[in-house]
Amino acid sequence: MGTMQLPTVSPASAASTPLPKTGPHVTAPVSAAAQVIAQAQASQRFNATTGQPEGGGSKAPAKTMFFGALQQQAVIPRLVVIKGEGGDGVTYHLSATNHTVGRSTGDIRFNEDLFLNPEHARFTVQGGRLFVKDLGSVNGVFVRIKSPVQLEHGDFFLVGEQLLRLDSAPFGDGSPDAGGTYSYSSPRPDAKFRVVQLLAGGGEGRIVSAQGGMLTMGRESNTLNFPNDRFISGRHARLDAASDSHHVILTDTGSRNGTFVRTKGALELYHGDYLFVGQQLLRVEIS
Amino acid sequence: MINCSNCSKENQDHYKFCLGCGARLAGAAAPARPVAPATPVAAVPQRGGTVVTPSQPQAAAAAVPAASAAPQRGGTVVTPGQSQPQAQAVAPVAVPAASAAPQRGGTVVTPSQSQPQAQAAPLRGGTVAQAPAQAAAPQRSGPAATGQAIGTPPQPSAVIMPSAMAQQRGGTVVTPSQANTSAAPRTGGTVVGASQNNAPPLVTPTSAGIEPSTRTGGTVVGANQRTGTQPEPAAKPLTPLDVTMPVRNAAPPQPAATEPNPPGCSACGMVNPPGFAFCGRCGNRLGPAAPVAAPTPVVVPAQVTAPAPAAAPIAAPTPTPIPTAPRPGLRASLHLLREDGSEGGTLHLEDGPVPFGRDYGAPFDADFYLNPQHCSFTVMPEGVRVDDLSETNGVFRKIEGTIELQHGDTFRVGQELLYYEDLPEPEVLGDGTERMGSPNPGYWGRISVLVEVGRACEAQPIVGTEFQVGRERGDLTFPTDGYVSSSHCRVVADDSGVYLEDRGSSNGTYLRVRSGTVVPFGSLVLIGQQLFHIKPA
Repeated sequence: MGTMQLPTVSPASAASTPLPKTGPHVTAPVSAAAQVIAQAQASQRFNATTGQPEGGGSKAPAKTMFFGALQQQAVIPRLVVIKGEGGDGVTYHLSATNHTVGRSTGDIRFNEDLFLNPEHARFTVQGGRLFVKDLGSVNGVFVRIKSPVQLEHGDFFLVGEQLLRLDSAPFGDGSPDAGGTYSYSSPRPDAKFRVVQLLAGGGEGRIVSAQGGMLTMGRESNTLNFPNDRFISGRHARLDAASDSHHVILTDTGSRNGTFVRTKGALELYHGDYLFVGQQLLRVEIS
Repeated sequence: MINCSNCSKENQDHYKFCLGCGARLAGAAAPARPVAPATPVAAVPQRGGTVVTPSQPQAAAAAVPAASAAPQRGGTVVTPGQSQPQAQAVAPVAVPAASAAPQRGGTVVTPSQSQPQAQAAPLRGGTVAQAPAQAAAPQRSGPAATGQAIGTPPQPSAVIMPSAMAQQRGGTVVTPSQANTSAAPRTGGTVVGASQNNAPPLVTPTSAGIEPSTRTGGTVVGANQRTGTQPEPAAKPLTPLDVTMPVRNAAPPQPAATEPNPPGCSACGMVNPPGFAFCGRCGNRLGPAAPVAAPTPVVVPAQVTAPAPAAAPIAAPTPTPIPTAPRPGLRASLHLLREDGSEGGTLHLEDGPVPFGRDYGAPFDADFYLNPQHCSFTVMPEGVRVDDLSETNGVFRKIEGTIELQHGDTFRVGQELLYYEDLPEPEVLGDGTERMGSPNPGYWGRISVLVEVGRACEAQPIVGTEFQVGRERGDLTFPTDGYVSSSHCRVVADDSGVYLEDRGSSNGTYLRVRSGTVVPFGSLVLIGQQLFHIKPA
């Protein structure tokens, strides 16, 4: 079974939409841009490291110019909702300082999305820069990684449809308890960390230990395989124990749909970032 | 399948010795076996038998130590009053298994049963049933002799006979009614009980007691016992019936000491050279060697009825404990099994709770998988109740066949420590938010591989009705654990619950005993690094 692709949006096209400066502005559900995007993007891929589109004929705007524009004019960041394969999307123009996303309150609402808290996250625009902050939601905000990132014990990440958590707390040394009694235990694998699968609705599913300091994830032939997940690539991502032994490095190994990490605290977003808020996949456009 | 009469483990039909405890199986000899052993009936008879004489029950209690199955063969004969034993004795000679079966059948309390008993006797060889008590006795002896001859030339059998007879006589003497019964007993000791009492009560113990005697050394024991040794105060209480006394004597330890005489193996009748601790033919422990550590303080239950305890369990497979409130004087024993399968000592229990742990002395003070205060045992009519005194490790019971699995249960497979949990129902939070997560195709439970308390290095959710664990095949595999069988055990679920089933693994599957529950007699339990066989006394 092939990997299904999440629709992606080309940065170039997004840039073409002029921005009204009135509050969070919603462009027609199916903006021309979105359609173009959706169609053009069927095969569009992004470099996992840079976040830039891959492939020839890229019309990527010169970075220096882009940055300069940010300095000089008030740029209105936009959030484009990616919808299925058809490309139905809504573009939200973040023209105010703060915009709240939620299921029932806030400026941007998704009434049908039960994975959103009533008030879920807040986007803040400061000097043309965009930040997102999780407002203590249950399910959090996930951002696609563009380059290897360091994870800590307890961090959550998404691989395909799988919600996973890193468990890198070391086991005890097997010494006896205060009473001098040793506990029964299974033989300990040589593993620096483990990955825990979290199931929809709550509860833990699988737990898999790394092989030494490394663990690969994908549809098949990996340490951790999800053969029935249509959104996972054959070799999707990997985890490697960092030399400091406190962190683990998460790397997307060229997956089609990317690997997402749950945000902690406020995080700055850049043009071309993708994020999951509840079930909503959003693309960030800043230009 | 053959159920071991000693530990109740199920063995293949062609096995000659029990995989669980090494005892000789009744196997080929008695086709009848399969039926009888398992049946709860057996338990009943025993009880009936005991009932017969108040004194007897006590005796049973006294006898305690010996395991149920083995003893039956030879030991049973010993007991005087009780018909059951006799029947057993007869059978034993020929084939242990067979004997067991008849007994059980015979045991049926009802007078009518007497017939069955008689029948049983005939099988072996006698027309015993016909004659009244005394007559019966001779007959018995006859059959026994024959049986022995067949099975084993050795004298022991002969010896036994006399003892048995004597006992019988004694027994009969005791109570006139019994006398009649005594005849009956021959056929099927139970009869006696019935006639005597209407009292149904109880006690299986007799059988237990009897057995022990056998182990120790043969039927002879019985006689000696009477005369001489008595371990326990219990005898005193017996007063009313001498008969009972003998039974007590039967109790393992003493007989051995007293009687060096008959070297005959209680299991197969083989005559072994003096000094042998185990039978050269079948490996059964010979009487004298029996490690009876401390003379168990015999708390003699003044009350006849008391004995209820263990007897029933002997049959193990279907312990249907008669609802007798545990009374003082219930006894059981834990037999330590060494790695080679031999017995390494015996821990006697009476009533309880009896604390156990590293703080309690010698053989166990170097086992650092035992907590200083590990657990406590309380003898119950159907087994031994285990209460954890510390959270760590606990007590594990080897499962036979299938056993219910509950949320939070821990079990051992090879070197692995596994944990079962139910998975929670999907949760919707107060504000209507649902938890995001990986798709759940219907997982309802999970098995984790524990590396320390509460922490797993691996886990697999369970979906569908079956989850297999093995070294090479299954939903959870341990390719590097040589103690795990290729297909070791499985978790199955149906409308009635979740169950853990051992799939004939070489090393077994051990389920942690939930604190406060009763482990039936015949079970193997793992405590610390020690493996014990729980037997009634």
